[in-house]
Amino acid sequence: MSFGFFSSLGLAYEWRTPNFQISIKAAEKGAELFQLNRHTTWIVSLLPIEKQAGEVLDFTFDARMPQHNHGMVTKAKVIKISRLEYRVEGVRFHMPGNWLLQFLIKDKTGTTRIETPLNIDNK
Amino acid sequence: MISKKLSLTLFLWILIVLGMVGIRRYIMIPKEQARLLRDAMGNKPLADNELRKLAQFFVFQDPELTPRDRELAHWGRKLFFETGLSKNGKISCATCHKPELSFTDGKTTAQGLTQRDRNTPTIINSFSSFWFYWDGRTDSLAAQSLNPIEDEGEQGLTRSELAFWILNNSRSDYENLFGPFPKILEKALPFKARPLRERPQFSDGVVRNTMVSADNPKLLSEIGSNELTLSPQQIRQFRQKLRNQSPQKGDVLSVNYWRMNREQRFELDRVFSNVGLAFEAFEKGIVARDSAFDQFIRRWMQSSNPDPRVHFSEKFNFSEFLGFQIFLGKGACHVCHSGPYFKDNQFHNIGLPQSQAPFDLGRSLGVLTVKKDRFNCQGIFLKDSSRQKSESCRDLNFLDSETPEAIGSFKTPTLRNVAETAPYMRDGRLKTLREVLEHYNKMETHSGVGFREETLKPLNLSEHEIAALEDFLRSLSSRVEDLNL
Repeated sequence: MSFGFFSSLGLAYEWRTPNFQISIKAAEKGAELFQLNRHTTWIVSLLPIEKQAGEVLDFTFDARMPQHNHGMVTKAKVIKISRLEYRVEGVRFHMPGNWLLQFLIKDKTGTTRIETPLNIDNK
Repeated sequence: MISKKLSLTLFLWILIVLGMVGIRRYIMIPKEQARLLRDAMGNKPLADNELRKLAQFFVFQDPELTPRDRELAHWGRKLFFETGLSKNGKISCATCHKPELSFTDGKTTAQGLTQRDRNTPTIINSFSSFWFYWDGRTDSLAAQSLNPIEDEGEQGLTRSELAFWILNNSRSDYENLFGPFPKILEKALPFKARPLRERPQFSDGVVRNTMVSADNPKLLSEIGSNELTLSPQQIRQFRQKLRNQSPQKGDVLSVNYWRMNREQRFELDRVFSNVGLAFEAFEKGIVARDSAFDQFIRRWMQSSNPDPRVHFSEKFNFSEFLGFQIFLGKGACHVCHSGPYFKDNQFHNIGLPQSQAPFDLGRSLGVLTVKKDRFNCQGIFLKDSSRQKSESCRDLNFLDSETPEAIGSFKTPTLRNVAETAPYMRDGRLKTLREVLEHYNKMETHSGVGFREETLKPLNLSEHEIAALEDFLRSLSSRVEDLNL
């Protein structure tokens, strides 16, 4: 899956899980979502699709490079800013290559783990 | 009505065209480059024009030097070679950073007032660095240059002795650059005073992760356990084997510092940080940028002929070019030694065993130290808008010393003038370039602590390919210039 086209246009990226529709957009106007070696702050929206999903109890984010056996050099901070929105600060993809975005969403039905591959171009 | 429709259509077309230009600029080029990199790493032979696209990312960019930088650099240069800035009057910055050795010392590990445990890195092209020292414990050249002056194993001068030295030897230089020397210091300055540099303590989590990852059964048997679950006592015992974790006591020099009043301390720190600014301006101008490789790249980029062979010279020929191809391709060296300065400003665990205790955790210690550094980009003395906007400064709020990837990771050194800066690795354990290439070719070692990056596999290069790669690395050498002159 490549995010480059959408993120470079400054658009949010969205996808659906059984319980939630997840949307990521850059907090700074016009900033690219996924870029090499640049700090980015995301606004992540979690919209419940199924009624039973209910309120998000916890949300965490991490990104790893499985081929390199390491993750980001920064530890992203996740701050709840509203019932359905989180601010993720300190996201920096410090190397080009294949990354794996990892989201954990905890609600009353359990914990959903979402992993999404992302290629960061060398530019 | 028609004219409205027409103008709307025209407006939409303009938007589409502008959009396409934008897409081409921001999407197509990086994707193309990424494809080329992937192909090169997958050993797919690249056509000449494709290689040329990759090579353009190795074109050297000069530092931005302002008139103020040049003024500061003039004093910074004097200080850099000044042996009076040491306890025994014999050591200057140039003792370890010798211009004739590309600003290194040729020694296994640095020798100041005492023998140090890390190899002296070069300062050439350091304007392009985000972090300094092997573990990145400072975030600017200014902050970095202050450490050796006060380090008891390097120059061993106290902060107040430095102020006295300026008053007695270089007062006019100082005042021309920074205004009047603080009167409050002239009246009452203890002869020897400096704050104790706090040794940050690893959290139990770091110590535990280190123990778990320590690829040294003997070490584990010493503390009587090879279990993953560790008691507080075991963690305490292991902590003593780690660098910079021994107990620290205050001394008379720090007592003298804290006896000064707040304003005196502030002014003394201000003078100290101003010295750092002078060093920084001087070191920013030290570059190595006109190697045989650079000359080849310039010829190749500027020509309409993509055939590299047309642009070869006596010093950059078939072997060097083959080495460059291996560097980009089979060797994948550029993954870390990337861009025109041949470094990525990041930290990696390359699997070198720890030679002996105390074990050096590298970036883990660097993260803890830079966050506490009074002279970091967020401190009151060296903060300015350009520093605070830098990616490394933004990193400070999010750096994590506990992360396993920081343990045993060290900064990627530049490969510029690498043939002139032997010996190699953080502790100077490898004497020649050939030994370094043999290390990566076989990768027979395992990390003493932390986890070696998975992408580091034995290169399995032939003797011929190793020789070509070595030739390429030698082609990166050039005369060192001082752009502030």
